[in-house]
Amino acid sequence: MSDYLTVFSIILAVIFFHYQNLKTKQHRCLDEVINRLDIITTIALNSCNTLPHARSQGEYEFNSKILRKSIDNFKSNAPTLLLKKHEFDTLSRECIELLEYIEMHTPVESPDNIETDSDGKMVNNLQTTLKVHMLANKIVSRIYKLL
Amino acid sequence: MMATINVAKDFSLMPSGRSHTDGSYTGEHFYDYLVRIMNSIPEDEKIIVNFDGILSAGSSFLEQSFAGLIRKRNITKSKFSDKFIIEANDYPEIREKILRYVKEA
Repeated sequence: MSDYLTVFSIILAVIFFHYQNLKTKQHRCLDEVINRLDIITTIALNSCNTLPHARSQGEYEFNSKILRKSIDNFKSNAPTLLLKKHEFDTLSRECIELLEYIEMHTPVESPDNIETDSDGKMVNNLQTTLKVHMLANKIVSRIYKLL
Repeated sequence: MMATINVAKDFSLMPSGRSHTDGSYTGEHFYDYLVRIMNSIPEDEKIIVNFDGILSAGSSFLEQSFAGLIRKRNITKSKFSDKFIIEANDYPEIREKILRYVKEA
């Protein structure tokens, strides 16, 4: 009887440590996602607020690539008992939506994406920056809901 | 017969930008490249555009190159899917974006 109890305890301990390990990895990915989101929104907002409006010289592409990679890592390190696949798919989709908005409506990828006034300033600056903030905050709040 | 364009090998690993002035591998550069390929093959021959292996592809790049074909009347929306086969196994959203940009062009 005591042998069974010992084996059972060991199995429980292994499961517990495995679970804790996944949670730690997941938190590291979470930190990375939030950090990259912060960098990406800063790059996008700077491109909207700095004159003359210019495209990113590779920083945006680099950080967006890391963000995508971090979300994939977040997904693969998530304890599946607690989190559902569709929640990660939604997170991934919202991330793509943010990146697409930045690439199509800010000068990050091309200054030709924006309309400028006679002083060369972006016309709908406030509307665009608010939308970038809104989409980024939506992703952050979803991440916290997942945990 | 089919012509195949491997974007990562034949064009750039990280295509981005809209206009010629944005860099060397922008949407307008790729538009020019697509038009050259279209003009060099028979009209009924399909073109496979494969995005596997690229590091990223900017949305402005995709919009300018593919929706540009519609805007500049190189091909009609209805014939686009008959002519082009878009493959993007690493980033499936690239295919979805291209089809959406063509539809909205």
